[in-house]
Amino acid sequence: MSEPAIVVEQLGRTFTDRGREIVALRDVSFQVGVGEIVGLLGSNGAGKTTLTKILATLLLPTTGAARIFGHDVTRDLRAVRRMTGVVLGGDRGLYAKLNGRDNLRFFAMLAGVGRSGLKAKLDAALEEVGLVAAADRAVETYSKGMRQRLHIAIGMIAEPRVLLLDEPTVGLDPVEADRLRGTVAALRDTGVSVLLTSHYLLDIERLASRVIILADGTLAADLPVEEFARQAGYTATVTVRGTGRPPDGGAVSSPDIAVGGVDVADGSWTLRLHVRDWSVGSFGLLEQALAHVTVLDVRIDPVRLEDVYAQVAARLADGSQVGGVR
Amino acid sequence: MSGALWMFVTAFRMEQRAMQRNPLLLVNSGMLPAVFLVIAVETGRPEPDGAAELIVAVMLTALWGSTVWMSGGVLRRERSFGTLARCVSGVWSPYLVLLGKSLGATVTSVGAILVSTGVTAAALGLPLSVSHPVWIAVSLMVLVCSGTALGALVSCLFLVTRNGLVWSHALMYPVFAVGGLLIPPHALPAWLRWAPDLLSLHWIKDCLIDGATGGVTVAPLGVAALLTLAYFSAAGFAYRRSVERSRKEGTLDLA
Repeated sequence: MSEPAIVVEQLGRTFTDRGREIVALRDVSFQVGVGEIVGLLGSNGAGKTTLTKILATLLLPTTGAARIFGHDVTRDLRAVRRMTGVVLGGDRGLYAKLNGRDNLRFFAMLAGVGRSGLKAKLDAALEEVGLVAAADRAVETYSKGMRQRLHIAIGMIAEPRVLLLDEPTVGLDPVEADRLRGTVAALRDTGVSVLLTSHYLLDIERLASRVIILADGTLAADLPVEEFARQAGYTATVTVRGTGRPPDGGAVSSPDIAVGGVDVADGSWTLRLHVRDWSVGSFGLLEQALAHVTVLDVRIDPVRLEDVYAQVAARLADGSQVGGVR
Repeated sequence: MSGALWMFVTAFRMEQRAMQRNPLLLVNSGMLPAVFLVIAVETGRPEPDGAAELIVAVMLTALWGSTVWMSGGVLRRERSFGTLARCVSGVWSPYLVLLGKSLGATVTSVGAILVSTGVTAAALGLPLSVSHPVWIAVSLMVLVCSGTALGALVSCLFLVTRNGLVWSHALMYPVFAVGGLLIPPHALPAWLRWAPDLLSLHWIKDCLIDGATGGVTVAPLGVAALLTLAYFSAAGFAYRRSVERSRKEGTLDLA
């Protein structure tokens, strides 16, 4: 069996603020395999940035260990940095007065890209993120999305074996975001391992095979994406809108269907049903419930990870278990 | 060219390009020496043999101001741009990157100061004599190295403390006052006359005046070079310690 790309063992980090101890990470352990994309989720202050900083060799852990392809992130700095790329979201982290190509060249050199073939690599990276035409313009003239694309080129130009992606699609339009997801998926197929932090659950849904959830610095869950999606307790939401008397929600309630709620406003009503499983029985119940009401519109939405995460976050706040970890 | 040297050269060029778009270059290295020189000449026109001393003193005073603001501000700018974390977490020594950038800032500043001082001195009709051009060139090289090392040392303040700007400003005026640049050391109180000896710029001033007027002596250049080496060592030690401390305390922001 091949060595995991990322190994995190009982990692802990404590900060001291005016004599007060703040635990940012506590006994966090997980692994990321070669060519695996793992989504890292958690509310603000859950410990995601602290974990990313430790893996990027910018912060020393207080306890435990982390390794990238067997190299300790606290000792084998050069080896870890050579094989790790970091993509950070946001407007900062670039030299605004300099052009995109100069920025990329400098950070490529820092990441260990050699002089030979550098120009070709710069051109290829700029082409990949669609910045060829703007490469010689000062970064201060770039839009938020263009800056984000430059960040992505910087993180990937050294062809790292491990990528730490922090909100990579922030600021990108849907087409660009989808293009980026395609690039990350292609990298995964070449064996690159990715730890993906994103509040856009669509990124996780499209790319990740596993989800790690941090809550208050501890590992609250480590689940395959399919199992994470099941945490919602339903697979789709059926939204029915109509006029007149609203249907009796209780009539459709069954092991397969739960009533999410009925809203009545301005002479119309909206019924939300959470369907756990589509079966002949569930269709029959729906048909019966809607037989004597005036229906204007029916919409079926597969469960979204955003909804799942909202539920999971609420459960974590109550101290409940998720996926049997906490 | 080895990878490390290429990284150093890239950092140097990056900083030069960034400096050329920085308005502080115009103020500190362009306007400041010109204003100093005009005020000094208006206050009392020097004798022909005292012109070199005045020009060199103004140049070095402006250079110290530039060192604090420009090369000493390298890490401050990295922090404000959000690029500091990347600079210290590359595969090359972070000190190499800092030195390359500090050198880029110093060379740009020295170039601007030389042009500004030369043009202003010519416009004011001050005699510009160069008795030993090679000696002056060597002295300028030591000056650039010294400015680079001092800049790197001042830069570390911005990693050690969030109040780096206040501390670097606090350093500026003692050097102006007791550095032996504008105020001759013999005019200082007796108990303070050792202070200029610790500043390489004070010794380089002697070298440049020697190169302009004729009487070349090696000792001041040797002392300046030794002090410069000491600054480089201190900056390297301080930078490595500061980066390690930042990694321990978590003060290196991702962006």
